[in-house]
Amino acid sequence: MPADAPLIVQGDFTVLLEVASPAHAEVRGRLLAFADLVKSPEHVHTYRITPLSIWNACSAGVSVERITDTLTEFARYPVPDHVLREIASLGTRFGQLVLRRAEEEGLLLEAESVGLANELAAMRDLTDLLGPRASMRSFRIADEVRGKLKRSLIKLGLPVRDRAGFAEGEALALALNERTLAGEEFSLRGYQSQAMEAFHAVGSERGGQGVVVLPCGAGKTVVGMACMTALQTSTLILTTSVTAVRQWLDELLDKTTLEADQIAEYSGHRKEIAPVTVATYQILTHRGKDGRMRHMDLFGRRNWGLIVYDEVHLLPAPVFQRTADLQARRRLGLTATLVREDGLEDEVFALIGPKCIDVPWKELESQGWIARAVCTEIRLPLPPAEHREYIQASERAKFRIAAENSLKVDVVREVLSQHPDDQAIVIGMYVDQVRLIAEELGEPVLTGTSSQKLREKLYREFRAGTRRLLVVSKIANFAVDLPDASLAIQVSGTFGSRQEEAQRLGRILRPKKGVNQARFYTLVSRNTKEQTFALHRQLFLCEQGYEYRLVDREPSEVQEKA
Amino acid sequence: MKLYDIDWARFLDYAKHLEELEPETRVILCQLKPQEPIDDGHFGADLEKLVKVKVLQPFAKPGRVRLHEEFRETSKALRAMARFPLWPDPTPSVLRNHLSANFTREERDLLIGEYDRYGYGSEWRMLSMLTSVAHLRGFMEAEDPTGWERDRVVAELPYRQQQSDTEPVLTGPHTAADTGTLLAALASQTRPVAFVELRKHLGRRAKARIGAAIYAAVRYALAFPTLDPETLSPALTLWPPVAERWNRTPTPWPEPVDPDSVVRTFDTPWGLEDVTQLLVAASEPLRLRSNDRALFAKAQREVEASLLALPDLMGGSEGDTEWLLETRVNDARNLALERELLTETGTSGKSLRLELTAEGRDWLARPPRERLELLLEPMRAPLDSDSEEEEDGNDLHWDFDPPTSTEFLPYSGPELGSSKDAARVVAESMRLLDRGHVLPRAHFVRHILEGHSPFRNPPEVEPLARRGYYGDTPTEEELEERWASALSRFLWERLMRFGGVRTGWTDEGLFTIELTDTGRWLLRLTDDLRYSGEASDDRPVRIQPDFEIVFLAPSPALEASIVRFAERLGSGVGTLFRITAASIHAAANAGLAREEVLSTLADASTTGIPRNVEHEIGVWFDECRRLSLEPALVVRCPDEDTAARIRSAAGRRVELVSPSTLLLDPAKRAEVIRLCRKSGIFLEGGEPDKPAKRKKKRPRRRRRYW
Repeated sequence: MPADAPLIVQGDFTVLLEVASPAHAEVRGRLLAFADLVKSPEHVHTYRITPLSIWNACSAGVSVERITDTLTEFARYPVPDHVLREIASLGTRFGQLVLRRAEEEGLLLEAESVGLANELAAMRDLTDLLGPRASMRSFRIADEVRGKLKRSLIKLGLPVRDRAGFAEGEALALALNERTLAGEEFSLRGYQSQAMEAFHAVGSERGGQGVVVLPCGAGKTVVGMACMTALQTSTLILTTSVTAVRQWLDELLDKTTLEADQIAEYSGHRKEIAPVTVATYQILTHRGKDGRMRHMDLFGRRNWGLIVYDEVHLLPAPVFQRTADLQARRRLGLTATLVREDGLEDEVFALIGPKCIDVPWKELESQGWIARAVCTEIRLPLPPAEHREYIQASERAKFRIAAENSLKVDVVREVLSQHPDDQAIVIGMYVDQVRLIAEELGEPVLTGTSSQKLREKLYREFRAGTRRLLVVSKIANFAVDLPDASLAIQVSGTFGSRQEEAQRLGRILRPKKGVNQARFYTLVSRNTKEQTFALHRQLFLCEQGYEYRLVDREPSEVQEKA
Repeated sequence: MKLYDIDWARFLDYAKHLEELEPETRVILCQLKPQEPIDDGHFGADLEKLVKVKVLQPFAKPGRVRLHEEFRETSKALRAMARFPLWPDPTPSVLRNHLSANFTREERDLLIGEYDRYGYGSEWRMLSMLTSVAHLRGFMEAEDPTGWERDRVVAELPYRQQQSDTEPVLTGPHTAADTGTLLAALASQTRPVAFVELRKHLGRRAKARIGAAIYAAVRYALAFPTLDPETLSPALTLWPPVAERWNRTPTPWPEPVDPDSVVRTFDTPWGLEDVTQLLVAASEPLRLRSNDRALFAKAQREVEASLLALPDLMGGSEGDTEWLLETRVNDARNLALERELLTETGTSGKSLRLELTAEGRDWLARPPRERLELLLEPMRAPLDSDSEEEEDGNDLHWDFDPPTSTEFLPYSGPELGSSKDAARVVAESMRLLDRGHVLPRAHFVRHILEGHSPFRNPPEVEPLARRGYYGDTPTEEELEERWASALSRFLWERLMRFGGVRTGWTDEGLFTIELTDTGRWLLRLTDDLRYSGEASDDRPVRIQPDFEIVFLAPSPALEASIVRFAERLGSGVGTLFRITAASIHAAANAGLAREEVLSTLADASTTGIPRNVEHEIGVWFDECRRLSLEPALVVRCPDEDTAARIRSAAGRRVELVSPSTLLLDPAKRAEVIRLCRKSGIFLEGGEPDKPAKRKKKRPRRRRRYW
């Protein structure tokens, strides 16, 4: 075992990778194939090996020997025996069950051995899903239970290699443009092509399902469009909000040969269907007065050849249910993280597909595909009157009082003046607070109650560069594409929400012209509950590998500069 | 003799018939009681034959049979053989039952030729002697077998002053010789010999002579009738381990194993790591239970979790079994206490703690080689006998606690004790490993066990052998058992535990051993301890911006230092600590200063402390205040005017905390009351609390049971 080997494999299946090691880049690439990156702070990155990460690797053609070789070759200390044994055991489980299309009708589930087939036959959870035996090692499966069966088997720790193929869907001719509407050159970046190829697998039965993991700002939408052009088929795209729907539509028009009449929006505002339809998760899960999700039939209203799940880590449970019935359609998941707060990663694996590609953001940052971000937390005191109020307030009210610290507006002004050339977003959780700040700064404000028209107008002005500042509430947390924003000032947040922090930071990570630098400021009231929650956010950003600075402002300092 | 007091020549006749029967019939005959009637249908085709040879006797009423009168004696013996299965797995309790059922008390008392009816453990002693090869050898090598028998048949029993009714059996002219031949024949076989086969081994002797020889062999527990468990054929056998030992040939020196065939090896001194981990854990005092001074369960679990996992074949599946972990913690603790690296503080029942001593802290800070040396120095093999110490005239054989005693032997028992000559024999045996070869462990141990036993050379080690037996000479099997135990404990507790041997496994599952430099030093084959231990990175720590501390190499000293101000997440290498507000507050409360924390971190890491971590540590330290609580009296006035009057009367003895509330020191209560009274203000209450009288406990009424 070389003393400078970069890996430490721990008995709890976590793997530590030393960043300073010369072999870091090589090992990182090999490790990402079979382990999930948990955190990547400055010196040592942590990966975790899970059953899903091993099955993802096996699905991508990485052998168990390759996995164990990587660990033993680069480990500084002997790899615990039980870790190697468990990896071998998990690896052999993948591929023991294969789902194929039967020659006559329906599907066949083939087990590697008669023993395994007998075991399956004896499992109560599978009684309703398995059909009669086609042979000693295989069962007939009805098309409609394909997803349910895969889901049940993954819960039993038996991943299925799905080779049953997909319905072709309605044909649609489209290609990627070489120039955008603004006349700028456009082509796929290397990692985007790689992601598309991994998903498509040259049209073989191995492809057509999977999840692409790329950091915020890395162009997941473009990967989605590339997959569409590879398949040349009608597509249903599901995303998180109306704004995101509109951005997809804009992008499709901007970067593909699709015409306006070939794409449609299906949301609370418009309910149109075209060969390429972009819908929100909300409209699909919206319940009518009778309690029925009427719009769920969108999945069946056209012969979709591909369904794209944007931000797949936010996919709501009812959509999962429906997706289970759509296993004959090609499915593409797009996300910045495979980690779901509800722990349904196995359902993503079983129902959407295995991970196709996972590009670490540091690599993209070093290549200039995303901006380098510096995070700064400015701590400022509460003014005396608000401090008195804070002391006497209830525990819940304390956070709000601290978050709405009236001195924050002065600091916002100060930060804006420090970066006069940056396009900035001021984002907060409390509508009253963001309104007040907007008023003080003499800028319009966007909140949940703002009309879609106003939103579009302000976003457009901002993108065009005629507007330097946007003051927004949490409506801008997700999927708002503001490519030139390089400065974000967070005046309040949802307690210690890590996801929100990642999303807000993601708004400013698009690559910038000139100095590719983004700045993310968080304003926090010192010695208050807000500071306690801010620590969670700080930890998260540090775990992601961002540089985090802490600055203290004294009362006099704030007043003076203001 | 009781059940086996039969005509064995006749039995041989029956045995021939029994061999011809169907297995089911044999089963019935081994169970059938003398007078018990049974349907003749059970015997099938064998019925006719059995009636003919007078094994069965039909009743007058057809269809029912019972055992023939002439066969009943043989039947008793058969049932006894079935009841006491001595083959293939003999146990002392089977022998004990066999003796109780078949021998009279007097016979049993005299079986080993030593009468000791009321001696402590005499019965078990008899069993161990009967199951020793020495019992057989005693008869076989006796120049006068009748003299040998005489010791076992005494005319007068000493404890009851009564005549014995036991009679000698080696009375015939050929009986002793025939018995010897019979026993030799049995000893030459690896399995029991069926009665029908006996004649083959005993040549052309008359049946009566063979019967007499069988009787004699059984009478003196030299041979045992039994049933072959597979065929239910009656057979005769020696006590199986005796036969095995009788035929044993010395195990030769093992063939070395090809080092390339050893696929996995392990030579980490986990004993050293265990002590290290325990000391690191004890850098924050560990609570001890007052009843047995063991670690509290939580601490025990934490220490166990931090121990190095041993390979499967060393301890158990996937690391260590529960008992082994507990033993390892206890062993580490005892060793650390012995070396004064740990100490127990507090009193039993109140705050009993296991704490790290200054020596312990110093030990942790040393490099691995020095730590190992300090731990093992008293465990090294004793100096050779020609050294000066030996010439001082120490009694080598009988000194239980000689001044030059070492901890070389891992335990002190009366058989081997701490005596130096035992240690010397063990050391000499283990030094045979120093031939630079990888050896199969089991084969090596067997060779040492048989060929280098200190108990095989009487003049030198006889005294050792006799220790602890209070006059009884242990059998050679017992001595070998103790020698095996000593060897195995030495191998485990000294060599394997401290990396003295490199254990390995071949693809075929062969467990191998090879002496390491540490082992050579421990056995005094060299005076130069070469052990580098873990990587010698003296600043192996990385402090991450997310407040976690990662150890890229083990450093117990740093662990012990950092644990004072960070929360522990693991031990050894990996992410071991996290700095939190609570951990910094606790450190501040324990008297640690911010500078000390920051300098410890800075010294431990080559990459420095991230700015946000340094900043937050400062903030958390700044939050800390040490204040004292004092009792005070509060005077709540109805209005501000009254408060002002009190202030005017009592002056600085009272303090205004709000316009109408005053605070006063309880010690000045009386004075303030007096001064206020002069102004017409009468203060009442606020007397210091008197300790509440304890209620006398009512004696519990005794419950009446009548």
